Amino acid sequence: MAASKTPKATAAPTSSNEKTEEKKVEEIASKIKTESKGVINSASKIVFKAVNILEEEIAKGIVAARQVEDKLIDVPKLRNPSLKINSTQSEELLSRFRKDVHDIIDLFIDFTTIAVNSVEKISSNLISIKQENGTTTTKPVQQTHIPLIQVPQDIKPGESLEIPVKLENDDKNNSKSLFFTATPLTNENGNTLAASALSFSPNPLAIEPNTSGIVNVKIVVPASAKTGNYTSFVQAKDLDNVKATLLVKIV
Amino acid sequence: MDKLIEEKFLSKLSRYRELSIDYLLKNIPDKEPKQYLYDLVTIYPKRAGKGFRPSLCIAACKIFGGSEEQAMNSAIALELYHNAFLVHDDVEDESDDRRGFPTLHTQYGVPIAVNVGDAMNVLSIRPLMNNLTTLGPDLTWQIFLEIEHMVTESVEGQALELGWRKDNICEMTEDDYLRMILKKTCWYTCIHPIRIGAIIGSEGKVKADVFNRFGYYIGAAFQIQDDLLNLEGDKEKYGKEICGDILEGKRTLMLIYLLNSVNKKEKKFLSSYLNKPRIERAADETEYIMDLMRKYKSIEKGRVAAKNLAGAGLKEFYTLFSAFPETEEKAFLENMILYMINRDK
Repeated sequence: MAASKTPKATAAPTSSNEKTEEKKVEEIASKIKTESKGVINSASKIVFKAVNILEEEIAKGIVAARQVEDKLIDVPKLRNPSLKINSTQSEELLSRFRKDVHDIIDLFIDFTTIAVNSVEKISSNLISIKQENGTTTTKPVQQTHIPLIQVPQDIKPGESLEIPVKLENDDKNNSKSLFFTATPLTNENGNTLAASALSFSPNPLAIEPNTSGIVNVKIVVPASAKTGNYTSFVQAKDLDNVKATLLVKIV
Repeated sequence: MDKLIEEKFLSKLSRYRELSIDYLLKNIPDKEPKQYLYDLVTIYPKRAGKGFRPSLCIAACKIFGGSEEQAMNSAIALELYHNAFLVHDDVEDESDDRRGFPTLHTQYGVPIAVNVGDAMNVLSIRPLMNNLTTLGPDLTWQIFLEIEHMVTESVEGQALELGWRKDNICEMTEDDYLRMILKKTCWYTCIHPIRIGAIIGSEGKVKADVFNRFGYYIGAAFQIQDDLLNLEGDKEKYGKEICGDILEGKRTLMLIYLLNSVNKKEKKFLSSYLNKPRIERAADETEYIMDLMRKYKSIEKGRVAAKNLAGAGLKEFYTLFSAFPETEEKAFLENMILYMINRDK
């Protein structure tokens, strides 16, 4: 009995103080709100002016953007459905913008398309270790940035997935033996999965000069895994230029 | 009575500020050249700024369901841009003090200061690129577009104001001022930090345009109040020279109200004062302008304008956020406006 009373006795004053303070803040806020009613409801001239100026400036920005668009972008070509980029992500973005009833919708769609195109261009430049999707692809290897390997589909706890990743050895004379390691996976809330959730096959991967090889990255998500976007840093032992960030979404 | 609101708001602001400054400092390269670059890059962020922009970004992100970590790269990019603007702004305005200490260019000279400002601009790019791994390419690109618009508007607004001073423009209206601060201050101080935070928190689903008015009203109110403090504040609390704006010939709302109220003789004096180089503007002349502002109630009118805009901001806040659950972050935004409405000094 005594043991159960002690925590209550110590906790009560703090909780009561907190409540009192919260109540005080609420009272003050309510008082200020009441006093400010006149200010809020006066809808003064300066506020109307501000609204008009904001609308004017946004409109000016749209006109300026349209002028830039006319100068730099072949709009009919961009709007040609046969030339639309085949990215599901861009389609999602476009449909989101299409829901917007604003009259600048077409311009936004164009800019979004360009934006997604540009991101894809940037991504393709960055990726020196290329994800394999069944078709043979070749890409020049650039090592100025760390590439991002985005797992193509979401995974649920308890599931596993294997992703083939293509690597190219553009050295004309020397073969390479790549032994892969990975850091534990971490999500945006600080939850982690052990590095053993990732495995590589074959490991090591041997690639002859001027040829390519495929390593299969297997992700086994523990049933207890929390949802979120997890990242891991993957690299080849003793090779400074073979590294990538792996991004996997657990849903 | 309003002390508690103020304390609650300032304590939350200070927490967000510390969080973002810590992360910002970790992003400054630990390499040479330190003496005239990287060591100086940290000077302004370490001084007692408000941390207003990262705080708004983080709070908006959390209101929309995101986390501090998700907002952090964008929050520190905003703070770095802000500090870069300040360094360059101080050079352009020939200001002496910033956040209670001498401005960077008065300590190290204009060439070093300009280069440090450039470095801050460059350093803000990396955290935005880091969004790629934490937020994915879609949101990263959206945030880049937000930043691009924000920076463009800010330099255009600055050009407007610098042009007024260079050409000694004395015929200005309240509209001119509102347009200038929208471009120079509001987009980057309030509108874009809130938009970016909401975009991150909602994973890009929110229509960011709905925050434009809210950000504009509170940004304008805050700028006018800042200019009021420059006229009547306590130098130690304010951190800049009092009446520094008059000395710099800055076209504040109060000065515009004054220019539109004075008689011909007084207008001639004002025009001649504003046309002089800063160094030739005498202290007694500056004091005379303060007297004129009191005589024509320019300061009082400015205070009413700030309150009206803050009030409109509060109304907009209720429209936008009433449906959201009561969280610390929502209270932070509300307290900020209540604090502004009641902030007399």
